Parts: sequence; C-alpha cells; structure tokens
Amino acid sequence: MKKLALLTIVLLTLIGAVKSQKGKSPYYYEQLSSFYYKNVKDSIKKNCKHAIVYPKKQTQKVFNETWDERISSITNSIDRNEFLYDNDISQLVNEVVLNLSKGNSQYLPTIPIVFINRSSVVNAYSLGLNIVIVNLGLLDFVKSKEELSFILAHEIAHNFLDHSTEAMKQYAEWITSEEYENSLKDISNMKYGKLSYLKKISSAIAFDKKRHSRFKETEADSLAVLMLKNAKLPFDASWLLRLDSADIVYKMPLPKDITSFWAEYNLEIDPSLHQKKGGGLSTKAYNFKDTTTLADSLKTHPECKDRFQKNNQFTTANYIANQFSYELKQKIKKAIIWNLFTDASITECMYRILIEKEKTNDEWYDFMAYNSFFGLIYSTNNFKRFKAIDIKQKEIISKDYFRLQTMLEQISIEDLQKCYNLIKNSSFWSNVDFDAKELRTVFDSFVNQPDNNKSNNDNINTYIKTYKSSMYCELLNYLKK
Amino acid sequence: MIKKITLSIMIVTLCLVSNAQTKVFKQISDDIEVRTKTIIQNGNVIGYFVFSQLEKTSKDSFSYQITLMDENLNDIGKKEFKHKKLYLYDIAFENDVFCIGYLKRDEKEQAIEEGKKVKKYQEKAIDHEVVLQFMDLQGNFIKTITQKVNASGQEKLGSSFGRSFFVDRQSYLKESLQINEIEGKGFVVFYGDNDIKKLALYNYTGDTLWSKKVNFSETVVFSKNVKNDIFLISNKNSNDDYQSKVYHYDIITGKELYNYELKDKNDKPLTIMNITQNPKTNKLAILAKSQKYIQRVYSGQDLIKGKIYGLVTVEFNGNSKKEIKANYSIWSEEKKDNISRKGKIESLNAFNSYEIAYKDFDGNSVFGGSGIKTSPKYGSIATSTLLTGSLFVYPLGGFMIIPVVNLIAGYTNIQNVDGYMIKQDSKGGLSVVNTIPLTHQWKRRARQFYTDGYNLRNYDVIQNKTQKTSFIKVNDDKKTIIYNTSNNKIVKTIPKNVNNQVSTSVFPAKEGHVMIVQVNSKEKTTTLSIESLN
Repeated sequence: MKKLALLTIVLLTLIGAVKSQKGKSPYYYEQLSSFYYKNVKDSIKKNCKHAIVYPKKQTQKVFNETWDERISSITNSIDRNEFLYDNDISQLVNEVVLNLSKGNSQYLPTIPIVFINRSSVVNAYSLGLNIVIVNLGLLDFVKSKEELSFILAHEIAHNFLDHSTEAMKQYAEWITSEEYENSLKDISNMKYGKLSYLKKISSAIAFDKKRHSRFKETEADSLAVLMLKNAKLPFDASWLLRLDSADIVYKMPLPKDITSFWAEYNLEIDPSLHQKKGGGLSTKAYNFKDTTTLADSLKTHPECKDRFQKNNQFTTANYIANQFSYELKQKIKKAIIWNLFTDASITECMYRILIEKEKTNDEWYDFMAYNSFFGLIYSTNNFKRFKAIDIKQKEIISKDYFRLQTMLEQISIEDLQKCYNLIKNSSFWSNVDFDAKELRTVFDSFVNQPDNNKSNNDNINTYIKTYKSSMYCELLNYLKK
Repeated sequence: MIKKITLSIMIVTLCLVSNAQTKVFKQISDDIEVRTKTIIQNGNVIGYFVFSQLEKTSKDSFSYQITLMDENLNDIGKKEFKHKKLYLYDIAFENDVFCIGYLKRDEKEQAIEEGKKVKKYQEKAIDHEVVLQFMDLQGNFIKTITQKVNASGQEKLGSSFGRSFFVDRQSYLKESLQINEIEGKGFVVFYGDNDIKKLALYNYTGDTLWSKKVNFSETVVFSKNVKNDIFLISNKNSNDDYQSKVYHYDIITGKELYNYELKDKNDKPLTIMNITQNPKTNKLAILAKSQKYIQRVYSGQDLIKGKIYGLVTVEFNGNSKKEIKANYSIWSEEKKDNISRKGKIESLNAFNSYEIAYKDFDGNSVFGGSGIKTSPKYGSIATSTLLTGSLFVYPLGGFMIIPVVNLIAGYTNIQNVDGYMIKQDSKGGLSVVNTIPLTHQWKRRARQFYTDGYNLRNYDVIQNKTQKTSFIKVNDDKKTIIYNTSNNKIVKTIPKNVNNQVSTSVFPAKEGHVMIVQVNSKEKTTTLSIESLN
C-alpha cells in the first residue's frame, strides 16, 4: 500500500501541477490580452503619468509625446492580442518574481506586471512603468527556473534603474537642443554631403545611445546578480553564454529525414520537390562585403563572452536546477506553434511541428500539420504564399529547413489539396478536442469554395457560436474579414 | 492570416520636431534617385539590382549605393561608392560576375532650362562616358572601364501648348547600352552614340576580347546572344518593329558573318513579334507577322479584311546565310486548312489579333491573340432598309441622312472573344492548340478604330524551362489570367481592381513564378508577392 502511495506521488510529481496537454489546445480565446487585460489597459492609460518638468516648452512637448507613445505602444499591444494570459505560465513567472522579491524590497518595492508576449523570438524586455515583457520564445529557450530568475532580475533591474525613462529624456533633450538645431542649420546650408553629415550626426547620437545602452546592460547584469544573491537564488554565468545560441531552432536539423514525416501521413510528395530547381542569386556563394553597415561599436548589448567573463566569479557552485514541468513546456511550445500559424509563418510553424512531433505522441501536432496545409492553400488562393513561406537565405537555416521551404514553394496547389485531404482523413482525429475536429468543416469550405464568402462566413459564425472560448476563434475572426 | 505581430519598440523613432528638420529631410530626399533592374540570366530572373543615388558629394560627383537582392527579394549585399553623375542602363550576370553599364553624364545638364540655353548647352556639353563596372559576388569591383561618347542633344523633348520644353533634361545614348552574358566567354556590350555604334566582347575580368565599330545606319533595337552567336537586330525606324535587319557576328573575332533582311516571300517587310531562342536547337528564332500596312491605329474592319495575311518563323541555324530557314504561312496566297484567305479561323468562325508569339519546348512556333468575331449590325440594316425605301415617299426628308451614316459606319459588329493560340507546323500549316477562356468584352462597329496597347489585351509568355511548360499571361477585362498551355488550364486568376481599392499588376519573376504587386489606394500600402505558377 505504501509502495502504491509512493508511486502515485512520484507519478503526480512527474506529471506536475499542469494538466495533461495531450490533444489539447494550449489556451482559450478569452486569455488573449484584448479580453483578459482590458481593465489593466484602462488602468495603464489612466494612471501612468509622469512628473518630469522641463523649462523649455519644446523639450517638454517632445518628452510628453514620447511618453504618450510608450503608453499607446503598450495599450496597442494589448488591443492587438500580442500578449497572453495563461494561469500555468503566469503562476510560474509569479513564483519566480516572488522568490526574487525576497531580500530585495529596496529594488522591488512593488511586484511588477509581467506580460507574456506571444512572439517566438527569444527575448524579454522592460518598458519602465514597472512592466516587464517576456516572450514565449524565451520561456521555451530557458532551461530552468533559475535561469528565468536571472533574466527577470535583469529586466527588473532596468525598471528599478529607470533606464527607459532616462533614454526618453535623453532623446527629448537632444532633439530640442541648440546643438542639434545648429547641426540641422549646417546641413541646410551645405552644398554637398548633406546625407553623410546627417548620418554622422545620427551615428554619433546612436553611438552615444548604444554606449549608454551597453553600460546600462552591464549595470542591469550586476544588479541582477546582486538581487539573486540577496534572494539566495543561484547564479550561473554560463546562462549569459547561452544567449549567443538563442534563435537556433531553424538551424537545427530535423530528427529524421523530412520525407519520413510525409510517409507517416501517407502523403505522396515528390521527393524532388525538396530540391531547388532553377538558379538564382540565392544559390550562389556570395559574401558581399557590406560597406554600409554600422560598426560593431553600435551594438546595444555587450558581447555575451564579455558578460560571461565579467560575472563568472559570481557563479554558484553545485546548485540544483529546477526545470519547468514537461507539460508546461509542451504548453509553451504549442502556443508558439499556434501563434506562428496565426501569424501566417507557415514554414516556421511546420518546422517546429516536425521537431516536436518526433518527441511526443501528442496528436495536437498532427492537427497542426493539417492546419499548416490549409494555411498554405488559403495563402495560395489569396496570393500570400510567398509571405507565408517567407523564404530564408540558406546561410541562416539548416539543410532540412531549406528542404522544407523549397518543397512548400514548389508544391502545386493540386498536390497541396491532396495532402490536406489525406491528413484530414487520418486516424489521429479521435484524440483531439472537439473544437479542433470541428475546424475541418470551416477549412473544408475555404478549400473547396474559396470564393463563396457567404457559405464560408456562415460556417465560421456557426463555429464561433458553438465554441466561443476556443483558441481557434481568433483565426476564424480574421478569416471572416 | 493575421498580420505579423511587430515587437513594440519603446524608444521612439525620430519624429519631426522642427521645421528645420523637415526642411533638411526634404532637401536630402530630393537628391535621392533610385533605379531598379531585374537581373536576367539565360532568360530567367535571378535577382534584382537597385541603384540609388544618395547625395551630391562635390561639385561634380555623387555617392551611390548598389543593393543586390536575390530572386526571393532577400538582400544579399550593399555597396557604396562615389562617382560622377551616372545613369544605369543595363546589368548582366555570368560566372559569378556582374557587368553593369552606365552613362556618365555631364553635370552641367542639370542647369539646362529651355529655349536658347538648350542650344548653348548642345554646343558645349560633350563630357559623356560609357562606364562598365565588373563586380564579383564579394562586392569587389574587378575592373571599371570608361569610354568617351557623344550623347549630347539626345534629351527627351516634350511640349506644352505648342511650346517646346524639356520634360527630361538629361542626356541619353542614341541607341541604348545593352549587355548580354555569353556562357563561358564573358559579356557582349552594344551601344550607339551620336557618331558611332560599338560592339565589344569582354571577359569576366573586364579585359576586351574584341571591340569594333558597327557600320550600318539603321537603329539597333535589340542585341541578342544565343549560346555562341551574337546578333544585332536593327529597324529602319526605331518606333516600330518593321523593316528589320539581322546582323550576325562571329563570337571569336567579332567579324560580321552576314546580314539578313526580314521579308516575306513577296519581299514585303515583316513585323517582328518575338526575338527568342528555340529551346530545341538553342538557336535564334524570329517570329513575325506579315501585314499589308503598318499603322498604330486600325479598325476591326482592317482585321477582317485581311490586314494580317501571314505568319513567319525565321530560324538562324548557323554561321552562314544558307543555314537560315524561313517557314512561311501566308494564307492570302495559298488557302490553309481551317484558315480563310482573309485569315478567318473557320472552325471558330473568328479572326485573331495576333499579339503574341513564342517557341514551345518542342521547337514549334506558336502565335496567338484575341479571337475577333463578327456579326451583322441588325439595327443598321433594318433602319437603312426601311428608310431607303422611304426616300421615295419623302425625297426631301431628313431621314436620308441615316442610311448614309450607316453606310459609313458599316453593317458589321465585332467582338473580342476568347484567346486563341495557333501552332505553326514545319510545313507552314496552322492549327489551334489552345483556347483561353476570356471575357467576351465588347461589341462594337467593325469600322470603329482601336489602337495597339489600348483595347488589346496584352499577352505575355512565361516559360518554365525546368518543367518545360509555357504559360500565357493575359490582361482580361477585370482580371489577369495565367494559363498553362500544357494542360489547358487557368492556373491563376488575379483580380485587377478589388472594390476599386486594390489595383493589381503582374510581372515575370524567378522561374515558374510571377510577381504580384497590389497597391491599396485607400490604405496607401503596396504589397508584393512572388507566387508559384504550380
């Protein structure tokens, strides 16, 4: 009996607090920011005022405009559903922030608002106003709660040090300064080289800004390390080195040959479609010496290696890393894939599906493979296939990614429809949720009668009425337009 | 699909804070000029070349930026350089080298106004040069060649209320600078200035292999290289593709091998429809039509009375005139199966406007255009019949005028129907191979005039060499249609103007693709997409 109880505990621990994600969509429609953060948006609009006063009217005007722009940037992001609220993800982030706040009351007098951005890009940033944004891409990238703690501490440090308001102040002061006005007058009176002179002024500002920015990054790193120490949390400088390998998903090879994936769905895709036909400059070994790019000194962040070396002395020896639960990671990965799909980034979406599909037997990924073929048919019918495939240069992607994008580019609409129909009739559908299954009716209508707006809209309306909480309603509302 | 979500950038971009800034930005943008060229190799679009003049850097020199994009519109490199005023003419690519041709203009041209000053300028401005840049894929200029030319007085003139003025005060070469790549050899360059025409072959490092003055008086409208052959095609009058001559040059020495006048059996000049390469023989082929007379404006009546009386293919198969093979299909002289002596396609009961010609992948010549059907103008016939009879009753009545008008206007209507593609066999026989379903656009009096490029549908051929498939692009009434001639199917229907808001244009792109440019006048946006024809 004791053994059984122990086994149950172990199993429960393995499964984690997050419910099983198998066959399920990662979130609900109402969890998108325009619904969930409606009140927060109003509150930001109402309460985020500044007390900065400039004697010069023009400087005050520019600063106010910049401030307002920052506020509307946040509120617009909320309106455009760029953020997502998810209980499990938020719980994790809140737990990390609460742990950080221990021993750091001077740096964290109030708990910040952390928005989860739906972007797949590995990034987090601070907006000032006690707001931090964490991309889903970053949550997918970090390996442990400790690593996430450091990143959040770094962003909170930016907030504490008021870096973003400082940057706005600098901008307003410079743009209304006598020096800048005089420079413009100089340009206006110049006979030759006006653009070069303007570039020179801009790069001097940029250099100054970036130099400050690099300094600010170093400052935020140092404060983050201190915050971790105060909160008795471990620090590992190798996290900084890992930042160099962010965004490598599309450079990684697939776990198996791409044609084996198609075979699993019985798709008869001509293997030669994976090879680029016809020449073009993209196939050449170019190495154009760009004479127009900015110098290295204009990068915003210090090199990862430098950041590592500077902070390596603070690395905690022998700490135990707490990883995210498997279910939570799956949820994050699924959300990224769905968001890429709604974003019409079909190749990226499909590539991630193929990577994940091999690691899990979750049929939701098969459902997404079906969606991807629909997405490509829809894009083709609306002359948006080029954008949906978003051909990347061979230098920045893996050979497998190149093969996938080449196939998607060269496959005919008839073959796409065959693939769509074959996946539609696959056996995995019994293991996905009803709202996913029912999407087939709507998509079928778009595939078979792309120009019948009435019928397509009727199908969408029926779906939305039945499954109003479904995550998929977001896409359908777009298709309805 | 939902638009790409862009990351919010907190530090705002430059906003206009003062009039001084607005003024400076305007001054700077006024100096910027951009010209874009498609880079074509072996008939396929392989990339795009954007040449931007950025600013004036001294009394007579400018800074320029070259932006190279691959066939998917991804940037592959940028390069800046300074030079005297340049006008981009042409670019070719071969063996990983670009050959770029410009005209270096005299900066004094900028000051030219109108009237007497023009004459003054024409007398003194002679500082023009042809500039050839050879650039590798690392963005290095391998060599730059300059050649003095005389391009004065070639300014493009316009007029306003009868008074002459310059719409474009720059100088141009009398005959355009054209660059063609030659596989395994280099680049052949042709241009003509006020004094001479020059033809030269350069290797990949910019060394001159041979260079010669071309001694004929006609205007060169086209230079074409096909494998190891160099051709110049000239017209007596540069404004129409008529009275043309083909000059063939030896690739090793540059020596003229022969010249050949494009004429039909009766020594009448041909109208060139396409200068192309026969995919089967890789030799030059010229496809042309025989017309009774040349005029920009003509009527349906001209067409149904047999204005176009034949189709001709001339193939240049070797280094001697003897190897030229002409295939004539002249229906006015000899009745063809299914084609009447006036050119009517009997099985379809329609004429053809013959606007396009190409060589298919089996080496056949295909000619095509819109079908033109005729029908009696019943209204005119009825009124004429009735009122002619009435003349006896009302000899002085005003009704007399109506039959006279009808007599002038004619008793036949014409209608633009489907597109018909006609294949020419090796013996000059003609057969309809494709019928492209199009909107039966208008019905009008046959005697009503219509002009080239206005009422015609603008046909284009897009060929996919890998798949050996030819596609026909047609501007139909409210849409552009792309038709696959191999499986007789419309593969794309692109609406031209959606809700009077989005206007769409279609251009050739990389192999097997078209570029679709949509301009949304309401949202003031332009979207560009390269779409597969699969």
